[in-house]
Amino acid sequence: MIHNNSKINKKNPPILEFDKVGYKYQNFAALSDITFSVHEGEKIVLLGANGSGKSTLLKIIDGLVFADKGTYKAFGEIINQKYFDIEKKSYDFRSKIGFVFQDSDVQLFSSTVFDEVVFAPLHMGFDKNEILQKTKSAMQMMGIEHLSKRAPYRLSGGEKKRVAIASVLSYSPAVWLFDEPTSGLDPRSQSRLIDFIFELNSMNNTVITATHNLSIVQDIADRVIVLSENHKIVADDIPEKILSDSDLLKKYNLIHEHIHRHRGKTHEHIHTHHLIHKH
Amino acid sequence: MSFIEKNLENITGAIQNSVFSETIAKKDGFLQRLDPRTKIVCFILFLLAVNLSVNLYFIISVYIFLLIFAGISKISLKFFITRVWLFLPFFTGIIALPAIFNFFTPGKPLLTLINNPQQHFFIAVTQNGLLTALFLLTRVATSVSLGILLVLTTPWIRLLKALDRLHAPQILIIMTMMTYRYIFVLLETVNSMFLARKSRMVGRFTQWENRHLVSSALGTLFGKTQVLSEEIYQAMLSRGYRNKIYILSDFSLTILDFWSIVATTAIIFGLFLIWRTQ
Repeated sequence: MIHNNSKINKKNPPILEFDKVGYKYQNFAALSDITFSVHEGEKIVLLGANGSGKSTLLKIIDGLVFADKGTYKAFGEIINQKYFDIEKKSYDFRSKIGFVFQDSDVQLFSSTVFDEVVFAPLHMGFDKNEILQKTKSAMQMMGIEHLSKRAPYRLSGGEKKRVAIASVLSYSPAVWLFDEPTSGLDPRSQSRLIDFIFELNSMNNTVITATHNLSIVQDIADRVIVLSENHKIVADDIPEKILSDSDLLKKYNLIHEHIHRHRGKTHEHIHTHHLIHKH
Repeated sequence: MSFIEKNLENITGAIQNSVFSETIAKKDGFLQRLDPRTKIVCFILFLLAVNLSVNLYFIISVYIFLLIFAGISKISLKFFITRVWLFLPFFTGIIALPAIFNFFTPGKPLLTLINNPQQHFFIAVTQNGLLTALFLLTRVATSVSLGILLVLTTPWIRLLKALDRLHAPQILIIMTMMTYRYIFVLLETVNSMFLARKSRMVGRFTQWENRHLVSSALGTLFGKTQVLSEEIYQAMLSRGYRNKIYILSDFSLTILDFWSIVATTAIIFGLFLIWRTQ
């Protein structure tokens, strides 16, 4: 399948480009032959079963791990270990891409919420007034000012996620990466998060979300890339097409056969959550 | 509940109460109002004075001052004294004990335990020995009390930030910060691991089986810690970390801080002048 989204201006060169990228983790392939590109303002979902390589792909995008094969270019430059040796380039890259990790406990490594949110602007060399202003505004936007002096470990799952987002929001990156953002969140927090991602994209930010939660795909994506359990891209298209292709979803372990009793009769059907919608 | 589970629960509870609740540090007492940097400087001055002094009365006087500071900082004296003196005999006491006898510290015998005049052999507690042991005990007790007073009246994170501002080695500060942040996460993981094991247990396990389970739990925890530390490092890199940590502190010195340093110096010199002839 070929991605074709008319909303995105493709006259400009892509901001992220993957060319036959492969990555091995301790001799096990985590990604294989990955080729795709991302344009500014796109809203992409990386869809795949557990272990398909979604998180690894996000880490390559964020320059946290580096491709073993092929090339990855961000903003026109090849991203590898050498690239980060130059301090200015490193800060420039980091300030453009923000990563919200799946496990908020990983992301929230500071001792207080304030220290967490202030970490990025402080380490990216902004001046003190700018640091404080950015921190304050990020905390206000996420409604966490009252948690400022609290220790992250004492927060609820939803609060932790809001702090994790504020810690990225404080340096306003142009590209946002979310790894399984709704995992462990209650329905209200999930809904808030989806609204936030929508809002981010409406401000022309590029948003890439890795998930296997089909129920949120239509809300947060205008393009879906499906990864197989062989760690390859097997589909790249608009959400409507991907979500209506039940054979594809079944083949790549995103939906399953489900047997249950209903009105006194046992019957079998495909189990998926993406048809749940709101008005 | 097994010995290990009970201990784990107690350790978790103790860490939660003593490190994270910071109830005393939140009280509106004298030491709580001081800038942490001032407290560190004052306490270092006291620590140097106590450990360089050769006058027992001087050390005891400093200890009395510490009790007064604890009192005006709204710390229960019973809690403060027992916290130090309950464990002191087990650690310093054991080291100091041999020093009281004549074969280590000769001097005027106060209490003779074994006396064999024919072989010119005796074991006795000597005055000098007792004095030496007392010196060691009071010195350690006063030094430990200083540390406890500092930690009890200062929130952990402010203490670490103050150490950073005073140019303490950064690796020490980062390691302490990370330990403070993740010790509870890891303790909770351990608790969950034992709870999960308990939910699948039927009957009693032999000691060998218990040891085997504990060692495999330790291995699993080590693996989890490694994965966690790698991901934390990546999360730090992602937000601009480049092997140097910057800490934003909001400390401000007041007139109280100035007078505290003056008062500390005055107390040390005053006590020195009072007891110099003893």
